[in-house]
Amino acid sequence: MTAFFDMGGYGWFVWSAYGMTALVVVAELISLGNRRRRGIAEARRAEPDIPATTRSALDPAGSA
Amino acid sequence: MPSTWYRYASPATFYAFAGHWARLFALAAALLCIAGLYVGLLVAPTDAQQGEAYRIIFIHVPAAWMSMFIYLVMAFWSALALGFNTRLSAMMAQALTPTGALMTFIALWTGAFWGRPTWGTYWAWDARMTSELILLFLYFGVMALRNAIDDPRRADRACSVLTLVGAVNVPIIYFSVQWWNTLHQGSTISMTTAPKMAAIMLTGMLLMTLAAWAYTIAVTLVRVRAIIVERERGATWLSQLPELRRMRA
Amino acid sequence: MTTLVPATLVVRTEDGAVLRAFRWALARDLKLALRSKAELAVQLLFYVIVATLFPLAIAPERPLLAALGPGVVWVAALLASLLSLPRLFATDAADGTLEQIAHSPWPLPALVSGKMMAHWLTTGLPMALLAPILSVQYAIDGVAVWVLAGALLVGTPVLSMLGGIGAALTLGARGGGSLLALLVLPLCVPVLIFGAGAVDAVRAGLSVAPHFALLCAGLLIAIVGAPFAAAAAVRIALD
Repeated sequence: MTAFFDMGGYGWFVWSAYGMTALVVVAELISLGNRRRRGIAEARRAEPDIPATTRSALDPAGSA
Repeated sequence: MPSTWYRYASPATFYAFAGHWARLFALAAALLCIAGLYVGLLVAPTDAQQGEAYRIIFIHVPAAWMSMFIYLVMAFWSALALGFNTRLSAMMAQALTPTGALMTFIALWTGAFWGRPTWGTYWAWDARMTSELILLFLYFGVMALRNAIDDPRRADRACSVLTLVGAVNVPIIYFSVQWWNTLHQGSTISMTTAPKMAAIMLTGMLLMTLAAWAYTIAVTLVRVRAIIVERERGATWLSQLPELRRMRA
Repeated sequence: MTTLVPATLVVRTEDGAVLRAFRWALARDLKLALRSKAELAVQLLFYVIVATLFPLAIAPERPLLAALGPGVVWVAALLASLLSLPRLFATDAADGTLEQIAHSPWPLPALVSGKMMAHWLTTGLPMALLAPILSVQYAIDGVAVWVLAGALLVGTPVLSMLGGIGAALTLGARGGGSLLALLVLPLCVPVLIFGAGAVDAVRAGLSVAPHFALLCAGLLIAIVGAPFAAAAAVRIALD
């Protein structure tokens, strides 16, 4: 196990490389998730009156 | 045939299409990455000259390839956007740019950390790395231009022109940097010559390359969906989406 | 023969329209630029000052300066070109002239290349002519001085043209000059490499023919491609 982390003495280099890659990939995925959530929230805020359903007293079955 | 293509040029149709395929490519990326890392870190033997440090190429080489390939794909979508004036083509180019910049950064970072133990220096002004750095500046330029123009359609067209001008220049830049490097480099070291590769090492690299491909496609499709939501505000089909209508009375 | 016809009716380019458009744009921009000679002088001063800063920041040792000289002069020329690029289109866009020009029946690429030529005549050409003076500061002598001036003569038009594309793309965008620099500088790297490389080559006793051949090739590609790219960018900016 320690041999895996040590990488024949090159541990600092190998894990700095892999580590930064993992970091930026995770950062991209998180920022992408945030962007999508923000976009949906803003789109919802822009159209506040659309009901989830068109059920009403005159049309109990709804047509949505 | 043309009708099928044009159908997918509509953001509404493409949104569902992209969502479906993004999930598949994300799964593929995860599996390929696990397989590639397993082969690269655990199965592949130690290199005779470079020791364990060579294992960085399993990230460096796929990232470098993707950084260049993504720019070409961006140029393709930009050409379509200018030629057919389709919004979605420009949105695809917009979605690809951050991932392209990311791949370029990863290629530069891993290249530096591969160079230090192998050739003694983090940065050696060799042709490939210098061209890669200029490519990063080109990506940043496109992103900065999009940020600087408020009108999205104007930004689409301006960034498309810039991407195409950059695409024409990239081979020229690469050639000139390579020529400059052969003059000034004392030894004939190229920071990006990989060690002579055993078959198992090539397998690992192939798996990681495919993983990078699948990751790029998945992330780009998810990003283009987010861009569609941002830019197609007011469209009826958008307001009918389940994500938007959830949690409302 | 030119007649006053509404632009919307004219779809065919007349014979000689390209050359006439080029000459008109060149004459106009030169006239406008020469009205503010002070501004042109300031640009050249910037070029000289930047080139003077490097020895002050490093050390005035002759061999060091001789090695750095061509590169420093080239970078200074590049930065000084960038300074004046925003005004290539911005002043015309501000008072609506650019829109009029774009709607005229004359081909926009020809008009744009006239503007680029005027820009080069007022920035690149003076810098190439000043290069022998700056060479004195950097202990560049003999044939190398003329090679430097010649390389600048061939390379600065390319800088003007690539810069023109950048100026058109950043018209009305936030970020101004720095954004322009970010967009244009990476594209200018080949000109920099071959332009400064020519001087190094002649000082090493090698032939400068390949360098000048490549610089000329770059110039030809720029002449053929840049006006169209810049014209497209101008139309995008005016929409």
